[in-house]
Amino acid sequence: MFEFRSGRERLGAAFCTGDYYQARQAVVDLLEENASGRVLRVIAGLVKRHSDILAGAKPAKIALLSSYSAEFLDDALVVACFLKGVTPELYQAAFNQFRQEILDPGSSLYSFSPDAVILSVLGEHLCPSLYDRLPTSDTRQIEETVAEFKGLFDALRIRSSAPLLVQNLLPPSYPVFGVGDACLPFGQRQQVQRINARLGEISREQTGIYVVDYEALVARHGFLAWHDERMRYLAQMPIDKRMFLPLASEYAKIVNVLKGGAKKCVVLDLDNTLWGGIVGEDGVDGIRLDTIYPGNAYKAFQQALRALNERGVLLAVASKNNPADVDEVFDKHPHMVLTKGDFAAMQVGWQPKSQMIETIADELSIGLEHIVLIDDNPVECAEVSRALPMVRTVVFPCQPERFAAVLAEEGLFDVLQFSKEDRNRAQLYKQRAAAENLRSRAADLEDFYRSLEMEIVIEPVNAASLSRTAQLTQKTNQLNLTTYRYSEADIAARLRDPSWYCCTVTVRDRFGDNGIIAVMLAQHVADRLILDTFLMSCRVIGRTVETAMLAHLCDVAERFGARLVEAKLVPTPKNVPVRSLLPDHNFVPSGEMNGASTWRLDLSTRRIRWPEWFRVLDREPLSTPV
Amino acid sequence: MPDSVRDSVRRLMTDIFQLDPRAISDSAEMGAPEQWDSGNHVRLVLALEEEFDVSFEIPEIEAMTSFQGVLSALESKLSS
Repeated sequence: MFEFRSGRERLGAAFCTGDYYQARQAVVDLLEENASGRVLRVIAGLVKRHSDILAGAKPAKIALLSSYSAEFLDDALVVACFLKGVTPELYQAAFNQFRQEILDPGSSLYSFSPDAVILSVLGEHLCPSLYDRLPTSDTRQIEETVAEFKGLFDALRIRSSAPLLVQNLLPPSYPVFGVGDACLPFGQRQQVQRINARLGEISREQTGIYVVDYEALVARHGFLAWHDERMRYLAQMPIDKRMFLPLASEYAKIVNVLKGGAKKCVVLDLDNTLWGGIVGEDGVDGIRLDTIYPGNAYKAFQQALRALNERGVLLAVASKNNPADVDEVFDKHPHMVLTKGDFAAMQVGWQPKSQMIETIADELSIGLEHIVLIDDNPVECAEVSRALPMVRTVVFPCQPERFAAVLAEEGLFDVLQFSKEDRNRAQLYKQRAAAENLRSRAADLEDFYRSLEMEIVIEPVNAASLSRTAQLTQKTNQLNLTTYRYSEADIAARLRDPSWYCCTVTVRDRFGDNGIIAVMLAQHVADRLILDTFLMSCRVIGRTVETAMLAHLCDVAERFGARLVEAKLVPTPKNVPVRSLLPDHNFVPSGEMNGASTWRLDLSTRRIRWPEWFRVLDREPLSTPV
Repeated sequence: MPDSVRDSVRRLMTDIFQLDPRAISDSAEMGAPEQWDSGNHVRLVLALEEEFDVSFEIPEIEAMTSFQGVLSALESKLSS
């Protein structure tokens, strides 16, 4: 029997500090010991009581619509969201009321005005005959089920722009045809797979719909272990209690991405993390990295990191080592999967790891809250957590065979779309480092700008750039005047409104194509063009791209017939670098409210000049509809 | 039945029903207190299974609808 009175006290004390990171650490420690329903209940209670005073966590309203008694998931869902930095307010429709809730415009779902809606409907409830009858040899059931899903999506979209997380379907545990199911042209498993494939297609076609891959999740845990047949029949809750947290965590991973919480950079220790042993002591020939255990497990971990890097996650090193030893491993070891060139930043020395991580964050211009440290040494992780609580630390277990799974399990780096920019990110950071070098050599700043041979394209947001635009509003923190977060559906709504102007900015230079690096959203109201969103990636900071953007905005204002450009600055702890943008460009303050300030530029007296070192390409006409 | 088991059961009920321990008497049963409803009964069963590392069959779950019923169901599990 587990006693956690002292754990509960530590937990309570951590929540009372009002600091999210301390509370989170206490929760993680407790869950590591025991993740029972009782512990989840206690944690969920604390989260609910402290939700409005926890600095560092974001509140969100989450609606869960289901065809079974999902209220038993409540505690797990609160805990899973909390671990991702979200303090949720939950709305649960009554058992099996998902259709009514979505279709009735006056339902409590809509008066709750959710920030996200989770649709967790089981296949046997949505399309019973596909599960409990002899499979039919046509596609009728597939079409009907997909049509029902589509009808629900459309009805929801009319009344709410909240992102929709839709859970895909499981095949039956034992198909009617048993071992023969896989050989039939229309076996039940195949029919369910087709429905799931169609859900994936819908999520790619429609903005704001995301598939929760329930089928993959349950397969990972094992179909039979996942379910509790007693409770399926007794309480309309077919899921085993030990799976409540894994399921809730899967939902929370998506919520995390939508709130811009995906991590961007993994900082790695070297000894006993990238390879076994200590290179400074064992020498380059003595470290374990080869084709037999444990060397093969370290190698597999490096392969997992390489795939992560291909996905756009930046790799960096923070290691207490002699640089010469480390260089020797990278240069000479035949089994190294990663090369020095795969790392966007490398800190090897003897200073505290927190300092190394700060240097890495500076070099790469990424926020500390987007960095994860992976280290086998809990002391190093603790030092970093104390100095930089927003950096996520992962202490690796002693068994290297578990490394790759630990890295994947939490979905720290998961994203919902994969853009061209993601594919090229690692390359882009290398270009940026090269450009920095050049900058130090340029005698005169304007010469430097000219030497970059920059080309700029400013064009209205279109179908191809919509998802990147939303993604930028969700994750850009530093060079962002207002930090308004928008979903794809939000942006799409503005594109349909002729009073809005929404554009993306692409910059190329002699080092390569930076892709879409900035976004402006503005609305024409009476004599003013109001700049709702101005954001830019740190990758192109210090190259007058912002001046070019504002010059373009003046042109836009003129075409709308506006007399003034009005802009708002909403200060956040992150957006310090953008605060001088408006005064630097001759905007004058015109008001202040709740810490936010309004600034104006009177076009009759002032214009912003285009920086002459840009080659301006394809400036398209205004408001091309999507 | 050792007192520690009785205390654990009472504490679990306190947690789940969100009541003061004194509000859960030895004669408590489903419906009295009113917080012991069908949803919380399921929560209670799941919590007991976790706490005592046992598993109940449906007839046992249906017979556990009083404080005494819970104790005797546990007793037969723990002694077997």
